[in-house]
Amino acid sequence: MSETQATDTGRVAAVLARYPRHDPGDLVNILHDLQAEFRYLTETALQEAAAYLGLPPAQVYGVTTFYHGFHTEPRGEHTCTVCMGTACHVRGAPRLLEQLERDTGVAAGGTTPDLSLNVEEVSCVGACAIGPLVILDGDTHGHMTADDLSRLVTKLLDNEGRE
Amino acid sequence: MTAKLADPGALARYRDALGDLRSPRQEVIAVCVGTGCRANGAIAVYEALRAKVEALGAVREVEARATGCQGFCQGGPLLLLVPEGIVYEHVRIEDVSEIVEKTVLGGEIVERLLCVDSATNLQCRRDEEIPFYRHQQRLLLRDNGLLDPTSIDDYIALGGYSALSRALEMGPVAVLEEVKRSGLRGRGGAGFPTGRKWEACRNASGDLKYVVCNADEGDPGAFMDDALLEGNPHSVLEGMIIGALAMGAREGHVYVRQEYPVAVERITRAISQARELGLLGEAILGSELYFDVQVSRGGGAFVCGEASAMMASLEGRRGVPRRRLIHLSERGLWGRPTNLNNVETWANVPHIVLKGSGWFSSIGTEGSTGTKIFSLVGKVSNTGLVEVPMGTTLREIVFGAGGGIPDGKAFKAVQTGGPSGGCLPADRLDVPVDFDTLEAEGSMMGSGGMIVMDEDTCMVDVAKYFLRFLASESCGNCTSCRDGLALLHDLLGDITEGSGTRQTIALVEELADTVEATSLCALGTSAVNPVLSTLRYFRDEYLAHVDEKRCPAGVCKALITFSIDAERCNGCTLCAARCPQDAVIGEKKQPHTITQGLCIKCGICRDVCKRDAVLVQ
Amino acid sequence: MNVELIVDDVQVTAEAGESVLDVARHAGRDIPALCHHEAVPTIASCRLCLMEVRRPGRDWVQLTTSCDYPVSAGLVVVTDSARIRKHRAMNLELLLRRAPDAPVLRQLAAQLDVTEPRFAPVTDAPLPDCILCELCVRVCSALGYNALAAIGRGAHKSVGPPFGQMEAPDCVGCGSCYEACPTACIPMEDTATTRAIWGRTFELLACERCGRPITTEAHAATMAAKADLPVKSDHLCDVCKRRIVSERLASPGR
Ligand SMILES: Cc1cc2nc3c(=O)[nH]c(=O)nc-3n(C[C@H](O)[C@H](O)[C@H](O)COP(=O)(O)O)c2cc1C
Ligand code: SF4
Ligand code: SF4
Ligand code: SF4
Ligand code: SF4
Ligand code: SF4
Ligand code: FES
Ligand code: FES
Ligand code: FES
Repeated sequence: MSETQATDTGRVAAVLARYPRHDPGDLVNILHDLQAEFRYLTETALQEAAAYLGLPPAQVYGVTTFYHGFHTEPRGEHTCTVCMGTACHVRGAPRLLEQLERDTGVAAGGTTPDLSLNVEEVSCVGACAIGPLVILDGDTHGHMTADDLSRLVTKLLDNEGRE
Repeated sequence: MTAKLADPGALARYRDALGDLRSPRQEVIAVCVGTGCRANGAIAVYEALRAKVEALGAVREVEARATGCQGFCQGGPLLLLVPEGIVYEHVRIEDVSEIVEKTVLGGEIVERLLCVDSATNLQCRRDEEIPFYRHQQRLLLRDNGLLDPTSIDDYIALGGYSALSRALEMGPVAVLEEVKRSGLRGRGGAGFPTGRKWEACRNASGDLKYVVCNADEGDPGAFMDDALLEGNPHSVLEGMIIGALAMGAREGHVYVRQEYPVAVERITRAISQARELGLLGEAILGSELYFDVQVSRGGGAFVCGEASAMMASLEGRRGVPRRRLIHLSERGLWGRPTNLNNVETWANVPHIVLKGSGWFSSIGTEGSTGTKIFSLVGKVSNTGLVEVPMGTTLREIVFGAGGGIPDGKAFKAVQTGGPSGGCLPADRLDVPVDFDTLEAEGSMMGSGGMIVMDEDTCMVDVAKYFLRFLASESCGNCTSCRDGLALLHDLLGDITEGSGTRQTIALVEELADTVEATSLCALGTSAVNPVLSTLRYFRDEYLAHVDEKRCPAGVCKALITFSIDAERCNGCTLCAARCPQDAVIGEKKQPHTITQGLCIKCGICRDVCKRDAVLVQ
Repeated sequence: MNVELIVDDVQVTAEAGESVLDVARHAGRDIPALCHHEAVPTIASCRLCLMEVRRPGRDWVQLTTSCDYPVSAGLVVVTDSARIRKHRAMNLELLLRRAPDAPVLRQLAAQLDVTEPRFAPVTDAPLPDCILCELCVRVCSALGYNALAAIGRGAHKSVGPPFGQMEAPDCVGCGSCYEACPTACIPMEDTATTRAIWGRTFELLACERCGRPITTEAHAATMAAKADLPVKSDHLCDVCKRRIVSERLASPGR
């Protein structure tokens, strides 16, 4: 076993230990915690979660892929999420997403090939008053226009390039 | 660690002691850090204010308090000065010193920060003068502006958990009767009488029963439940404990949407605070009641808001609905009797227990009692959460509290009931909003989403939007819903792209009929509502798309062109510089033109033009 | 407990808890029910087994799937009507997009007069001709192998080995999923000595007596383990087993 694998296993075990009841009902909570730890859900992590909860790996995989919040592919460093909720939609959110997809060449749900940015959409984050909005690495930007978004993302990715 | 409260008397003494610490004259500046205001920079405002106020030290005892959503998100960041009731809107960090110096120390109002009543053009000093609040009856939301949601003491000081004391005194049967008599109906969508549901669960046999709080709030454009859970988590929890008492449940779950991390954090904290004080766990307030609650996060699936799907999700399975042969109240989570209620439903319970069913049922209409919180969003001047008595008309909500449509545009429709609801046109504005009337009008109450649309909203596009959402949220079980919704979306796509014909519309109707008639759960059966209701009320708009290849609202890209009004354009070159396609050409200070072949209709030129010179036709 | 109900104007007796589908089939009705199998839990996915039911005391007729609808006393069931055919045909049209050539669907299409395709076929499904009924997944899990997963959701749902792999590590090659699949879309290839399925190749075990393949060695091993038998018990195919029994019965020494 390689060193990273060994530490990964340790990290998975640490997450699982938060759920001492071995209760299958904790599966989704565990998947959240594992994803927070690794940014995405690796096969190893899912296999271990399955063994820990006594569930068939196929069920764990089925559950993981059922929810749009979980990712089984490596994820990028940054995340730009366009709110596509109804309130934002009627205020022009689709144009924002199109712009973002054009700027990054990645469709919603995808990640740029250099793993710098994830392009995401979400349905309402409860800040409809300032829609349409975009969330860049956890920071919400309200009253967005396609142009503002373009600048925001270009700036972020340019800074990346320079580092 | 605090000692557990041994009995209701101990709770009362605890509250009195808090009261001594907080004089009623205590001045509080409540800064809203709800989702909307937070996204508007409210946290920085709060921190600046707290630093400033703390620096006052002994000079003046003022508390800066971060609260949950106060409802008037449009005005955010929002400040409420207690006890005066002064509301400041759009507060920025730069304003903080002035507020402290003028208002706190000088007793003087900073007029610039007051809200203006657009009808009278007068400044509103106090919350009740603001039109947005004036039209409301804020039974559930009022305390959001008064308490720090991370403090159980704040909740208790405002009378929190006294309904639980009262319920313990009344006993389970009397509590159940009270809830039944109140006429409370579920706020999660279906409007099922809560008392009847509780009774079935109470009568079900089994030692272990569950109560579950549905905080999945999947409606994409609504945040009532988020605001309650973030802003007043103990009120929801207290409702659940009372429900557990009435039904004899020992375990509770709060199933929260993953997109609400703050709500998760708040309710989790509230639960541990309640445990510490003996309001959860063994022998609650010294009684025989045992009840404990845990939080489960959703994974990003709207369908998990559906009861049977939620049970599957809570059991670690795929969130796929099943036909319920036996009612949840008899066989729910892990096959045991279970009662599921929505966040807002639970939050009503303490009020009913405390003030009585008679008082509660005097609010609202005969068939729909109490208040309802609506998330009023879209093309409306005052976006935010509006709590009104059931039976209030759409007009009062949209034009009264909501202040009408901004930018002088005309009202076109209001969508109620969330993604599976319907769009009601202007001639339905005087319809009273209650469960039964909305349904009769071809829409529904749903959980309280209310999206206002103006003349610039294309109804075909809106229907397509909802189908896109629902198709991607279909669990994939049923042929009709899984494939039918995706196809309906494609067919509406044909219409918005100009390749649709009247036959397309007929096929849409035929397919929608089967999806509605043959899908397993309410996601599928009601998914066609937005299509059917827009076809019912806005058929002309569909026909314009297919017959004339025209989008009257100027939304559907394939059917519109961008051009520049030579009269208005002053050749500022702004649009030319920002156009991603270099489609705008023109000399400086000369009217510009758009090369149609290059234009991808991204709309940036229109966004950036300060002279409104870009036309869409 | 037995209940009386009416199926197409005829009074029938059924066991409480039985599905309306089963009862109608016993009464000789031919009902398309592609996702149903007695041995596994019902999920009511294909939406073809539609019927109209009316409960006693109610004045409305409900259109419903029958495989997940339990019988009850006094229920009035109609197994065929214009409304049923119309919606069944539409759902069939939707399924035909996924499996245009599946014989079972073609046959139904002929019965229901579904002719010209009105919708574009699905071309990007990972498993061509799969109608997503999950019978394979359910059967495999009922057998305790849990080798297959239902993956994703909505129109992007699929079935297959977990973790995006081509191979199903927990598969023992029993072939039950293949048998259960209504559209016969699961690729399984048997040679004289091997079976290839779900990306794996298994050795087949031959009958000690006639030499015909019985099942895969991996399957036989798990069966033996379950029954707590030594792996090397008698390896006989069903036909030979039956023969041996009848031979014994017929032997004069008995
Ligand atoms: C597809 C679908 C999504 C739903 N989403 C929610 C939801 O997000 N929140 C909610 O409270 N109820 C939701 N419901 C309704 C619940 O199934 C259930 O009726 C409700 O939680 C019961 O609580 P109540 O009686 O207090 O309204 C949904 C129903 C369906 C069919
Ligand atoms: S109607 Fe749609 S969401 Fe509901 S069970 Fe069927 S496929 Fe799933
Ligand atoms: S709509 Fe977009 S592409 Fe077309 S001219 Fe304007 S900025 Fe350029
Ligand atoms: S931004 Fe407006 S005013 Fe300026 S050049 Fe473009 S169209 Fe003309
Ligand atoms: S062949 Fe493999 S996948 Fe199919 S049922 Fe048998 S064990 Fe499961
Ligand atoms: S492979 Fe066959 S059995 Fe499995 S889901 Fe597809 S059609 Fe059903
Ligand atoms: S719709 Fe975008 S925040 Fe609510
Ligand atoms: S978030 Fe501040 S008022 Fe709603
Ligand atoms: S057999 Fe009933 S839905 Fe498929």
